[in-house]
Amino acid sequence: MAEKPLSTNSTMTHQPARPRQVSFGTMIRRSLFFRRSIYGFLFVAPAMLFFLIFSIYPMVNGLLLSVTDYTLLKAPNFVGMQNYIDLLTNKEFQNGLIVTALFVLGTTIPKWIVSLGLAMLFVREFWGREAFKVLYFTPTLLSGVVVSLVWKLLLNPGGVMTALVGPLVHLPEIFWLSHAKLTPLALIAVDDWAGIPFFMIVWIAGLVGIPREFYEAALIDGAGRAQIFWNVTLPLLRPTTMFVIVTTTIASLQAFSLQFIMTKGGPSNVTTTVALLVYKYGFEYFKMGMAATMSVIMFLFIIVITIAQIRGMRSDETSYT
Amino acid sequence: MHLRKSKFALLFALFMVTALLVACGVPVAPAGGGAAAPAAASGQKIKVSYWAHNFEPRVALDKKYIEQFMKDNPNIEVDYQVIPADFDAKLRTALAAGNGPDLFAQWNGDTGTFYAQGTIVPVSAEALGMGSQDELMKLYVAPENTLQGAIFDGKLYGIPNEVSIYACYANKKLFTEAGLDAEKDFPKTWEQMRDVAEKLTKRDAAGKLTQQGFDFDWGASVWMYLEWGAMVRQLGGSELKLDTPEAEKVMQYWVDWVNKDKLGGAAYWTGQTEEFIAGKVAIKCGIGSWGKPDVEKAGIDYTVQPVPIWENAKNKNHFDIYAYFHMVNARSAPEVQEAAWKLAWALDSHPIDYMVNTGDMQPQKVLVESKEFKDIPYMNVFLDEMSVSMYSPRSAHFTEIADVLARARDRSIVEGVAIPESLKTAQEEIDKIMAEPVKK
Repeated sequence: MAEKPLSTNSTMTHQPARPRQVSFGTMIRRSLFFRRSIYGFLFVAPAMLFFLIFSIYPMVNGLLLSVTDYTLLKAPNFVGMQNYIDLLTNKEFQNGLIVTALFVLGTTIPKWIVSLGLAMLFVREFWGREAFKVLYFTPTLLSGVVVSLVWKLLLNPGGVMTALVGPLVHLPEIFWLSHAKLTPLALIAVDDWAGIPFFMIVWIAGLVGIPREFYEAALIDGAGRAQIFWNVTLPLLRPTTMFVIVTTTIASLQAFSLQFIMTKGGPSNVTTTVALLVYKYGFEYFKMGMAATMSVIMFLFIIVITIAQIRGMRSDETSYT
Repeated sequence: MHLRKSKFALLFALFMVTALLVACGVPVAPAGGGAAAPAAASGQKIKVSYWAHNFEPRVALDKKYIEQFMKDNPNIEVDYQVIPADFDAKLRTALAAGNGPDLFAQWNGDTGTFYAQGTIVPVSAEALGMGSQDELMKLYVAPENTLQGAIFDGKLYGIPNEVSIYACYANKKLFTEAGLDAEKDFPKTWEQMRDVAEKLTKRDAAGKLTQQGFDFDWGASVWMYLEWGAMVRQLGGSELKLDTPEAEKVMQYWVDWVNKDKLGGAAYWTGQTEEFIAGKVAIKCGIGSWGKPDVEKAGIDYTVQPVPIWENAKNKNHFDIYAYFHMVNARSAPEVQEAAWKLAWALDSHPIDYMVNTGDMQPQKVLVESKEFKDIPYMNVFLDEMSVSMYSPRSAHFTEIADVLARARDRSIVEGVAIPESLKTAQEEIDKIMAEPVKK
């Protein structure tokens, strides 16, 4: 007995399979561009294009320039890792890293603490709260350039700040912007003054989002103010904290305008941040290749620090449930 | 599956766009020509783009002569752009992007770099209707000094539209208040300057400075280069050779000025002319002839005197000469370059008009011999200084060296580092910079 074919469909065994006839219109409809997801794609396309042209392209180009001897005026030549090797012994860059690190310390931790303190103050009801809030928020509305110019005047040796502080330290003149130790502190103070109000608002947004039930429960359990702050408020502010920490750190690592306008990096390079050094090398010394190398190194620093911060904050996810 | 495909498509699109952008390459124009429109065919107009920094009195004259130039040369069209602010960075960026102007007026701090990088071309005497470069140079007073800032390997790379040198403006009223005569008692030497400045300085009961006698320029490092470097050269030294008694002596003078004599410093400096116009400083030696209109407008009774030199000076170099030169872009097409030189000369061959209306000096013989020039008070002071002074060393690293000098100054003044040690560090930095190969 002959073995029966597994299929009983004779047409399938004897006729070659015909390709399915798909109309052109169907093809188009089924193709990527007419699927549902394409609408979302189109909505984000302008922003994506903008991002590609003004962020991704300069970054990639910067990376390419960092391995060249580009001078702005002549075609770049490939120099391999020479710029990176030279940077290892570049004292200005080493100084720039230290100046930037100190600036970051001075303009992040105080911002976190003071802005949180102010937020906790302003989240309570008291007479004139809204007016004070607006007053405190005003510096945020000023551009970095305006802040720099105004404070440059205020920090004149015989200026307003000297009139306020001078009598306390028995000095007729204070050289705020031409003193090796005082100048970095002055810039840090100005940056904190300008930045704290914004983060105060961010903290307030975080604080009002915490359900009141948590506080009521803590009070019923007999928790004191400090205990409530450490065990209820702070853990529940974790997403806000992460935002504040990451954004302040990134902004401080990129510090430029205050230093450029108020001190030009002086005196004696004590306020020359890496960002200012990049500008000098690129646009004043015609060493764009080296400037790009500095930018790449700084970019890597920022990435590493940001990832470390995000991971650190994520280690214990917060949940209201 | 659809989602994966979409993601893939998105990533692929991102990659393609990035690759396309990167493929466009590092933003450098082709090496030989291309900033301007290609060669004009017969009958077509040659377009010349011209950039200059903003100085309102000069801009008005520029426009007048450009209009005249286009009438005289109907085949040339000029696109004149005045850059309102941050001229240096904008010019450098435009040149880098390959769309820099065909003709531009830039100061000599950049000419060394432009020459070394092949950004500019030598002056075309032919385009100016002259037989040779010498014929052009002979039109200028002391050309070996006044044009030196744009001469490389014996060739002239620019025509000056403004040559400046600082002289000392003295406020007669403040001198009189101190019991001095601004003309007769004006210090001739740096040694005298310290004593005269002290007499002119006022402090309140707490010791706060309320009026300065004199102060140096503490703003941009390049101004220090023009002043400090010239003081070293007066003694026979060089600002590029810092481990010398000459450099130490001058640095000691600056350090003492701030820390020992307490006569000024960076903290009091707000601008090149501001303190003088406000009557807060009696002598200001960082102002060129261009400052006269502002000083007069402020109603200050003043005199202009030569910058002091040391008692034992080996040469009479006052502060350094500096200039804005008209330069032509090496990337422009040959016929555009020729038209650009013609335009430059059309602007620079009216030195009397520019002097009278703007205070800018184009030190041509026709100017200094004119009645108009002789009638302007104190112009002879600037001219006399120019004929015995020099430009700062022309280098492809001008600003970088100026920053090294400023750091050395600040290390000693602000941080208290011993002068020999600070200068030794600066010398090492300069040696390293000068040893760097210059691309050509």
